[in-house]
Amino acid sequence: MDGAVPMLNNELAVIARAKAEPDAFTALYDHYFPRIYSYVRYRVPDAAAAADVTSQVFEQAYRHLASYDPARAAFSTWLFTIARNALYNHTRGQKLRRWLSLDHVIGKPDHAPPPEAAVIHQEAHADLLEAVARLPERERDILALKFGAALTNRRIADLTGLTENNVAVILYRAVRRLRAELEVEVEA
Amino acid sequence: MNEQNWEEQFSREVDRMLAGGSPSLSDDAPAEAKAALEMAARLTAADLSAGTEPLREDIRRRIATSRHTRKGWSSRQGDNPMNHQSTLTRKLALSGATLMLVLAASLALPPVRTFAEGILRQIGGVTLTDDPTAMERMDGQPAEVSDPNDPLPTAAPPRLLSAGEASAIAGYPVYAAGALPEGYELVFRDAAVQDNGVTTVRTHYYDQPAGQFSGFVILSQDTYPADAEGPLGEWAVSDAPISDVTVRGVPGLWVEGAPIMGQVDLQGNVQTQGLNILIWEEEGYTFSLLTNALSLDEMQVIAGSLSE
Repeated sequence: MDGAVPMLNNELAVIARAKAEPDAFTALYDHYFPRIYSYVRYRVPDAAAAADVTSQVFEQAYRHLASYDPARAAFSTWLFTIARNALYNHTRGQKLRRWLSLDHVIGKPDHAPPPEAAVIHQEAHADLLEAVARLPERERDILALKFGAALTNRRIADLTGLTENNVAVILYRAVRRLRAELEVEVEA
Repeated sequence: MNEQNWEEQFSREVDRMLAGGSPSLSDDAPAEAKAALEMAARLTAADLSAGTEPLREDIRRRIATSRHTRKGWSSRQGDNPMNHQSTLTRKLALSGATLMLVLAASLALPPVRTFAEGILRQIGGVTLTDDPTAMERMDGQPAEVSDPNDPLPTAAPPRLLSAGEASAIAGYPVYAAGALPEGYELVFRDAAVQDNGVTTVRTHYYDQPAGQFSGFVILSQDTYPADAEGPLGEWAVSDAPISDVTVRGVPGLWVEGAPIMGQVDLQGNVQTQGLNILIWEEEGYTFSLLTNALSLDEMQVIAGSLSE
């Protein structure tokens, strides 16, 4: 089993066919879209930006499918590595814009939340995603890999370089912190 | 059952829920664990991809009409997101992974020089020189533009090793900060023994407001082989001012605004950023604290709090 959610049936055969016949990529795309999108959505508070990142992930996967080697890693590991790289580039772009707005200030920069962390109205799970956005980045990532990507702790460890034990600890802490964040919102 | 067991049990129950099953915590589970499981159940039930059919179809169309040529297996073998090296553009970003690459470039072995030519100060295994830094040479220049067919960037982030794991790799006890400015957290710890015999332990602390860090402090605890020929830890700091200071009761150096980091601005040009460095030698280790945000006084507090 690749993750908490099963792999695509005959996944290796589907991948081999998709390498030769581009149309066959659809099966992989349909199977992984929900998990990739959910993972990205946990990481990127803005829905439009999350859509962009998701699109980049599958476009990259489609272009570079020939380079995937099943002997090196599970397909989900390869695909979620693409996703993490896309998120890394997206986040870096946000940080660059924030740095440039400081006009060469030296010292502790402005700590105001970035605009993309603003409240998202009229969207399902808005309160949940807002609370997730307030978590430290690493906890948010582990949470996203578990509940968005539905990966096992072993797969998460492979992707992040953490140990499985680290992942379990961070996950537990992240969920507890998320619950506390949501309780504060309810009281407010 | 201790907390670690509950953490592992929690992960197992979450996996069970994600696979469609029901959780089964024992009655004697602490209230906190049960509450966490309730939160996990809510997360499991939250289908964030619901209602995304239009997006799904849009991406499907984009892929179908993609103009990019799908690379053949023989010509792109090895072109794999799992092992690709970052492009120069991405090396200039403000992040733990690329920061280490930037520092590595600055620490590259020097060209052959006349003895003492350009050497400013030496302390421990580190030699500071007035050579222009790599970032200065690129300052104001357009950063490389990525080829859209370029392989994916995978600057692998540093790991978060435990102190014990880092110590096992380095072969010596690892120091950690006991005091940090508010908001700073341990994010990465990595260790390596390099081919030239230099052993490095790097610990990253980041300030993480709203989940996006802005300030960092990187602690290096390195050893240099005694029989090395020539300087191994040569750092170009250009004309950054260097001051003598006392750190933890021993002589140290404070370098202010060394231009060793760069970012790419919205026009696509490199902008150099200065970093502050506190360096000293103690117990056979060369310690350095590097930061983009803290003053000497703040760095001295961190240095003073270091312990095994």
